[in-house]
Amino acid sequence: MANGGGDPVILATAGYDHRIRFWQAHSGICHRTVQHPDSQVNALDITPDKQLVAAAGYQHIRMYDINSSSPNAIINYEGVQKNITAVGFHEDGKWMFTGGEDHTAKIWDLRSRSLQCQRIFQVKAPVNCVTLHPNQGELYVGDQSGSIHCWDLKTDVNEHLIPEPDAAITSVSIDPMGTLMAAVNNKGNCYLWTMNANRAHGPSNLHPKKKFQAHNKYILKCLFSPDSTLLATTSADGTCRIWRTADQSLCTVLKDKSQRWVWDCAFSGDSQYIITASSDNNARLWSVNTGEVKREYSGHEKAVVCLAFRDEVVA
Amino acid sequence: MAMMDNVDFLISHIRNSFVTSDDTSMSEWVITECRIQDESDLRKDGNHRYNRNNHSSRSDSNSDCPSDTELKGSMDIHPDMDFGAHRRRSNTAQRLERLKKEKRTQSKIKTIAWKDGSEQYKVEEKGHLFEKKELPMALDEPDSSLLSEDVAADENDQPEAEKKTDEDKGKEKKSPSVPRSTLSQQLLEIEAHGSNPFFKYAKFDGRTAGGLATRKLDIFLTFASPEQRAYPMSIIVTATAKAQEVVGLVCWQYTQEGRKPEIKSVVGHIDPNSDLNKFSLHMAEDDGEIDTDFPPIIPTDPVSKYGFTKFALVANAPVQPKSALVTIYVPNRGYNTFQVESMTVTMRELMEKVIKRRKIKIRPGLNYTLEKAGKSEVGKPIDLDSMLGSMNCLDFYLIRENSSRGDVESNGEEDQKIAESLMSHQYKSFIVSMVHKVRTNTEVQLGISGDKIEIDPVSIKGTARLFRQKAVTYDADCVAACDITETKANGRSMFRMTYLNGHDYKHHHFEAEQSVANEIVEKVNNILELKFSPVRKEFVYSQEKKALRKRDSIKISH
Repeated sequence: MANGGGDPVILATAGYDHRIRFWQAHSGICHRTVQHPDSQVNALDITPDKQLVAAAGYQHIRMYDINSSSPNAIINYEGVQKNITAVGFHEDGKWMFTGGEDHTAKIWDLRSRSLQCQRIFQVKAPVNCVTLHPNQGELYVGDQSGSIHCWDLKTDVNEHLIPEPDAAITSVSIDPMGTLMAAVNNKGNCYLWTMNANRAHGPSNLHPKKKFQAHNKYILKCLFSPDSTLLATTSADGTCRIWRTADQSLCTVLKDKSQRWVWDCAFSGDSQYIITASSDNNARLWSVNTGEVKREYSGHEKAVVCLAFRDEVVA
Repeated sequence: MAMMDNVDFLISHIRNSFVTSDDTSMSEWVITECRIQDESDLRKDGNHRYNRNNHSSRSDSNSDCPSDTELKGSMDIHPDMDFGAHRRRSNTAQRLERLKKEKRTQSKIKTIAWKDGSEQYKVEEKGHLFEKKELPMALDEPDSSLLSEDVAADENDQPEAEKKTDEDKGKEKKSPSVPRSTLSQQLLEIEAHGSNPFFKYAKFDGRTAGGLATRKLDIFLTFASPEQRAYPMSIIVTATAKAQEVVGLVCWQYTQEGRKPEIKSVVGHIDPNSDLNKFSLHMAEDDGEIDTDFPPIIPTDPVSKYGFTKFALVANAPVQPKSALVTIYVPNRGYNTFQVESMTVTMRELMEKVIKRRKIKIRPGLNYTLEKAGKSEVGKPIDLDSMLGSMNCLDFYLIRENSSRGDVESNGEEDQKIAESLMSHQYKSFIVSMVHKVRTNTEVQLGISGDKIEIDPVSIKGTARLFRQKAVTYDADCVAACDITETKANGRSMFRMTYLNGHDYKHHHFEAEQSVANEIVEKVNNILELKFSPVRKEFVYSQEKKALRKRDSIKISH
């Protein structure tokens, strides 16, 4: 589905060393590094047309051209107070969504000189994560106070749920089929809901399915695999765990003795591999089934806290 | 020139300037104190202490200029202000430059500030922008889910939609075979090809370091084909890389560029963990000639330490011994000798080897360390993480923490022997009898030191003056050999010292107590071994030749 040339596989990592590195995912070679001055990078995402990578930092979202060799950003979105903690795109690239410590989720119109899509969603606590439903019409905003806000974009109807009081929601994921939602919190718990999107006005119906202790420590990220069969959780305990969505049984524990907090992860297009980002300055490529490290992306000088990855499925 | 009439502003400005330009940061303490004092004064009597004579002062702008008081706050102190690369420029100049640079890069960046939507959101007006997409229903076959992620086709987009159905068909045909992603394919390919064994050095590549300090180096490859040898390989390396890492990066880039001959054929089997020892980095002239006046660069040195950028990479260099014999003495318990395969082994590994070999139990709180042999090294533990190659020494002592080798050294016979050999260059004199061919033996004092051997007559009353041995001194470099010739039944030994006089080897024969004779011979041989002077070399060579000739003649006669 690649548009406009360039590498079909893109991997970018960033973190506290004010640099974004681009890797050849299969070989582990870093082929480019760009500067992200004045701020750490909290979140990364790649535009659907694979032309730009967006880096969310303190008060800025900067866009870098993936296919150029310039070490600097080309677009700088600003005017936000505090840290921006989440960034993502509508699948057609119409708009970008962000979430931040300024207690808001925002929708930015990406077309120049158009403010048609500009939207703002206010919550009562710093936003930790924002996830777009695969139907492109609902945003799920997890915040520090423990709420998950389900925001139906078209109708502007929103609902919220609190799975566990006083436990900050750190990440929310919805499987590509739109039938399951997972949320994780800083107590190490993972919650699952079944989703039903057949609702005309308002966000999808959610039915609690299961709660389980996925880690003993803070969980930082949860993510469904592209084939919806697996759920990955990454944690402060230095591991990433892969669960089977069918019965929530543990599939693999991805562990390395030098690995520290695991902040972010991304599956390969065929769900066979997963890439993780850790505080030990490395990102790693793991085989999901065997749990062995296939590649190590080393070069960052400080913790790697986010990554963006695009793969393609070939028939 | 600016005129300042606001006392508060001036005071504040002077203080700030002082603080920001003060290296010791002591003034900050003082000035902060001052400021607290000011504020308390202000609170007490509502009057500023610098403005007490306000009525008589010319200054009347305090009330006019409220913005001035805002300047009172301390200016930001940036840690990088004082550490310019060369000469320290004024803060203003530095700041201006930074601003200028920022402006330059800024001009290329499009900045978009957040703006709220012009009006309230209304579903009727904007609802179409946030339309939900129909997701392919999950139904019963889980495989269809695979499509949801990547086939995100716009319904209007006809070709895309067609493609989708094509793929649908393709997948249906192929199932149950699992679809592959590009990444998986690439991983398989790279496994089939074999990856670059020097991969771990790729991170020192300055071309992708993005803003890190880098250095461009020209490396002449001595193992390249003659026509290529004159053209150095340019590499860009991160400034902090060590020489060994530079070698690794060269090997990586060389392999990556597919140059010939392959590294594998240059050094044989590749094991990037240890095979970098097979290379050494030398300083080179501009034309690629190796500068032989200098030893190879120490592998653990950062290359930035060297001011020049031309190096030569030598493969299978003989200068780096591939293996060495390392002796580690354990006080009071003799010694262990190890054959070490590479000079890059760390001292800690060596120590652990000894401890393992000796089955020394390490109790908690008892730490061992190593010291170099030699008097001057006593009590100086070495850095266990450094490499053997950087030690310039092959003999070490295993020392328990808070212990020393000295307090037990005298007990060990081996140690004593070693101590003796180490002390062999020190002066020591012996009384021996000199054996003459025709006359009776005379007592002489044989003084041996690292560079001289003296024979002094011992005056004994009654000996005729005529028979007295003259005092002679031989340079240690002239001495060719010293060995025991005969051990007598009476416990005395004869020994012979060979020296070069002009072009001939001459001998002196001596007789002494067996133990004394042994000591002298050993001492002299130690010195000879250490010096290995041309005379000695020549002598050893001629001896060997003689022996060969003898053997040959025996062969022929048979």
